[in-house]
Amino acid sequence: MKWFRTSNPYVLIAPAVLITILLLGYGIVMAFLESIKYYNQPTLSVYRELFSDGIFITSILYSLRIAFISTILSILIGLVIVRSLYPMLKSKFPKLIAWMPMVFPHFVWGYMLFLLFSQTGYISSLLNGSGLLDRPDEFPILFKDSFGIGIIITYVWKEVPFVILMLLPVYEQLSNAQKELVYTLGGRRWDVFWHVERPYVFPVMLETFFIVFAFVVSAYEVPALLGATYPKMIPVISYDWFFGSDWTKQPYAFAAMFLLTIFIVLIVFMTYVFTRKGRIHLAQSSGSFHDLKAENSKYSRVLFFTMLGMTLLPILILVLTSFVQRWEYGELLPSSLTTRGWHEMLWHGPKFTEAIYTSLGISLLVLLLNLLIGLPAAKGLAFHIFQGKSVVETLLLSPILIPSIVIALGVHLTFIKLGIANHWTGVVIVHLLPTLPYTIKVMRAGFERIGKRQEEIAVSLGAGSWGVFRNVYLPQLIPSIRSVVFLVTVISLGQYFLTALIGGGEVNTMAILFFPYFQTTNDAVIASFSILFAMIPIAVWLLIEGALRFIIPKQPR
Amino acid sequence: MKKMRMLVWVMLILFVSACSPSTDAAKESKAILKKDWREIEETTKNKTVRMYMWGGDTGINRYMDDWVAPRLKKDYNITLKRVPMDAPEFLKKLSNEKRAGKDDGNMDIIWINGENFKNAKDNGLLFGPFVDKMPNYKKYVDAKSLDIQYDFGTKTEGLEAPWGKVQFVYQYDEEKVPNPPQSFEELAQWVKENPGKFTYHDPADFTGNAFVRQLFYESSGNVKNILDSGYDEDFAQKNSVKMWSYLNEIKPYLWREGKTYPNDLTELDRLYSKGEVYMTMGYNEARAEKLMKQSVFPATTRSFVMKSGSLGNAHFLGIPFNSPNKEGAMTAINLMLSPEAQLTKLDSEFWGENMSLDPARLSAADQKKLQTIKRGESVLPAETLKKYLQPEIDSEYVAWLKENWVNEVVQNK
Amino acid sequence: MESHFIELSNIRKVYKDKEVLNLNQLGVRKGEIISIVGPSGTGKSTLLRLVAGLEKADTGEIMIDGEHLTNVPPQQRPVVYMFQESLLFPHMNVLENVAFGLKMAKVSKNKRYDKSKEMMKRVGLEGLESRFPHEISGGQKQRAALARSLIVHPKVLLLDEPFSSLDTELRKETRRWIKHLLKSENITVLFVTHDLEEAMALGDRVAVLNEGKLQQLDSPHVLYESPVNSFVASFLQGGIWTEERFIPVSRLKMGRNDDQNGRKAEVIETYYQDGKYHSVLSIEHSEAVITLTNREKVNVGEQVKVFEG
Repeated sequence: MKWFRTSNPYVLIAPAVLITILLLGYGIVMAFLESIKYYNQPTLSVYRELFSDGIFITSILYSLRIAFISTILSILIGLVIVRSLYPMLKSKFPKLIAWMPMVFPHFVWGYMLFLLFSQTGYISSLLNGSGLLDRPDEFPILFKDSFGIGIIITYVWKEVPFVILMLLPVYEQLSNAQKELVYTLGGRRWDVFWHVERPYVFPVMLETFFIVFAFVVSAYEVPALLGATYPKMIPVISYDWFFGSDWTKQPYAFAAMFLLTIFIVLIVFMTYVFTRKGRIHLAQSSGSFHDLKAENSKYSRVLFFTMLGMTLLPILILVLTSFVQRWEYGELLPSSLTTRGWHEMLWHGPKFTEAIYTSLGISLLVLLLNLLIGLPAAKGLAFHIFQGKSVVETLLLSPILIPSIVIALGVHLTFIKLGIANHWTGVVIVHLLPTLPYTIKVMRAGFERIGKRQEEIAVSLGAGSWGVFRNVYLPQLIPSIRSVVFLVTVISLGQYFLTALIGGGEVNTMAILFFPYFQTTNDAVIASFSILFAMIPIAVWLLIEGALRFIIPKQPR
Repeated sequence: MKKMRMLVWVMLILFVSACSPSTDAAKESKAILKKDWREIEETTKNKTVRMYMWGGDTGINRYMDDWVAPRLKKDYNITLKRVPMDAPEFLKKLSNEKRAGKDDGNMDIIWINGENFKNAKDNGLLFGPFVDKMPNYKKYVDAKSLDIQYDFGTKTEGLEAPWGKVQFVYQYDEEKVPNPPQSFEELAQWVKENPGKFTYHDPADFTGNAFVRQLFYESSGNVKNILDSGYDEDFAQKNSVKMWSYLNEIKPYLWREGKTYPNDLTELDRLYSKGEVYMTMGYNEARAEKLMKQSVFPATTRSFVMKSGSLGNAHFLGIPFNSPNKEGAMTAINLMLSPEAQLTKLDSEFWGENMSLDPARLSAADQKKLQTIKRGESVLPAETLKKYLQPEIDSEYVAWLKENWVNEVVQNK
Repeated sequence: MESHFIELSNIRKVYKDKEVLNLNQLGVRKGEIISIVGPSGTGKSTLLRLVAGLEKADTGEIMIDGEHLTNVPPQQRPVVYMFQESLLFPHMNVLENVAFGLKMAKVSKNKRYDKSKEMMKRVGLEGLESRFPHEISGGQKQRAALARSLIVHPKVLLLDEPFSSLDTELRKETRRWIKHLLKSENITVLFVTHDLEEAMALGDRVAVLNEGKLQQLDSPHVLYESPVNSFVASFLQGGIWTEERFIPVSRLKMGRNDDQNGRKAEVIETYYQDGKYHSVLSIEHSEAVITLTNREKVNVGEQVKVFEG
């Protein structure tokens, strides 16, 4: 009865659900308990205080506004790019270009944009040097303004690639025939979008919206770097309560983040409930076979080169900065160059090598676990309709909706008890938290694209579960696996706080070794570390790419 | 339903097991403190000592990795592992371990001071008192001096050993500011004459807070008044009026007209480095040297202190309650308190920071060595620094100033 | 009672409180092709999926060649399922697709490719080995899918509307050679279709299903001449029931509306074919629709009488 057993959706999703509950459940309970514990007395006074605190309310509204604007802009820009470039983005090089900004941690990206666009940044300096600008303060204030323009710019620039990653598979599977049908029925371009693309794109867009929104509203690094003194975003205030000198303020951090979490998770849950019907129909189609030959639009070339520029400009600046010793404002060329940044890195010698190996090892293990747990869950969600599916969907997505400081305490206590704190196993498991939801998302889309009929044929021809996976799914899931490899390694490598807490200094990844250096004033040092940091996920990507080629020699598109 | 029940069970078990601290560790600690020093040094051979410390300065890291670690290896065969981590983070880790009843941790030495020490002490995260065990402490540290007995108003009680001393100074570009201000009045004058060329950073940051704190000293007349009253909000309220009005007075003439402030020292330094502002500040009288060498700061950077005084404090090394190698930790700290280690630390090639030892207690040869060390042109002479030195106040004022600054200055339109 | 090659008994399948299949008994002889027809949603495909093991019956027993299959997983059943669309694996070339079943049976590479090439020759796909599915025509895809199914020598082949994605001419051509091929291999086939002509042409016997129940299983001739109930009669459009008696089309004549006897009917469609006018008639007070031929042209909407004669 093996077949029936594995076709039970509950069995397929069980590992993912259990690990999520194990990691999140206790954490959230602990966070709530901490938030109602003030001077060891159970009370809701912290919540009451927060709601009567004008600064807190302002900060909430400010955060929501910034998150909303950044998210909407990212999604619209991402949509336009994917719509006009998806035939082009199928090939590896353009795809790598589109994804490139993702390999840089958020605050590195923010820092690069700051180098470019601050009042004394490279652009301003260049304008001054060429006589177009008299003084740096004539350059528009883009950073540390009270509206949060700098934060929004950074997020949009950084999230558009993610939106592309999420939307691209949808467009690759859209049927051209349906589009032509709408045209022949007298529809215009808008009608095509509305009737052919929207039903498929909208659910993914909605989900992407929540992921990005939840991230922006609760992420600390970018607003801490580029935000104004007032108003501050909620995560900045919460982190200060959490890590600040006054430990009695911790309940406030838990309370603020807990409220935010509940708010987002509830909205996501409602959305899943309301959009369930539409998704069911989409998922039940037997999987359309690629009708190839989608054509690039007229502007796609222009758009592509714009995107290329947007990706490469900050990276070039970063590379340049890593060699600059001093570059006076208004001078067209740096006055002196240095290799100090790179020296600083090489000086680390054995530590550096150790960190690279540790990081590689951990991200590969995380990747493996992700696939082992994520693939069955994705298949369960793609092919089955079952009781409580909306709950499961919300639960499996929630780790990326919940800020890590909320659950850090609970996770840490659990891991100490389980004896996996201060050990790489703990780090690998805790890295599942921010990665698994993405894996499930991406793989689910992959399964939906293939459809379940092929499996039935294969089974009827005598293929066992492994035979089906190895011969039918795996080869066709390669594009999805590629995205997963990329996302998981980037996210796993970028984890600082969870790695530091759970690894406890025993597990020295690149993030642990180098994040402290972002507190230096020396731009050359920061820049060379950032470049190095970004090269690791690319290396992993190439490594996996090679391995995939070895396992599956032929890859028709 | 079954799953739910299982989950409840798992949680219950975790809850229950989280509340069972053992007393073995306490006994063991006492036993260690009873050992004599020779024994302590002896038991520590061939072991590893893990030191958790802020890792954002390449010079400090190099001092640890290139000087301290090899020396420990050579003298005691101890392997020193430096773990770069911010104090609030490793204290969080430690307090979670305490909560989970984990007696066998993995941190041996932590670098702390001020509010972090207070939190660690109040929550019982520290082993000790251990300082009196160490020969170098007994021999070279002036244990009676106030800045070693008190760490931001909290009694150290032998739970942490002083590693170094720093003093708050302002850096300025000599080329752009020929006559640096000597007092807060002169500073206000200068700021008004040079709008947009000065700012201080958010007091949520350690250094930014020190700037405001010095003004608070001035505002309340004398630091003695604050020290005498201890932490007292009413006192703070009454004596901060002058400070807030001063800050509000200079606000429109600050960088970006005071509409926003740098978030941390890194940002202020970057502004200074780019020439957007002409002054920066920092809690280490020699910090400009390295930055000048790296061409981050202009070569014409010099420093000054206010005639009304300059804050000074010490920073310390402590041993966590659950350190697996407390003997090793003590041996390592003892080595770091040796005159040789401290004199090397003073060299601006490495760190350039002042000793925690009492210069008067050094041997004649070491004193001579101390005389010959050139700390660099941007560092004020030792006599000047000493003359204006002022102690730190209760660390609870740090939080008070930080919070009230937002209300009194930032929100004041 | 003769022993059947396929024997289904007391099969019942319920989906969400709705009974989709309820078969008392269905027996198929070896080498027989059984066409299964019925209105859509009557459980035709469900029947095939049960036999293939892709779904599990709530009750009942399935036997093939004397072996109980209820607890045999689909991989191990001597049964192959073919879908409406060819469903070739898009990432494999034609040869790999055909060889898939042998690969699953762990047949060595050389051997399975040799066998597959031979099979491709038999279905007329020689020379297309290295093409990918999207590079061949619809008819070729169906042939490839059939080759893929036959190569594992199944005892039973399940065809689920295999021709529905082909155009009329190609359909007819394909079904002819498929029948020929199946007969020469002596394979037992269950064939689901909604095209009556196809069902009659391909099936040795035809099973008519309605609302999950088997109405009748007989040769086409018997079905048309003596349907067991009015549903079968009206579904096949093979005649009319009058006073508990069935009159097949072959004995019906069309007369003018003013004729005395016969049943009233309305002409709903006419077309000219093979030298005769064909009139499609809707019989009054019944759901029956029949097609009669006539020498003269009648018009759509005209009232006529139908009588035995």
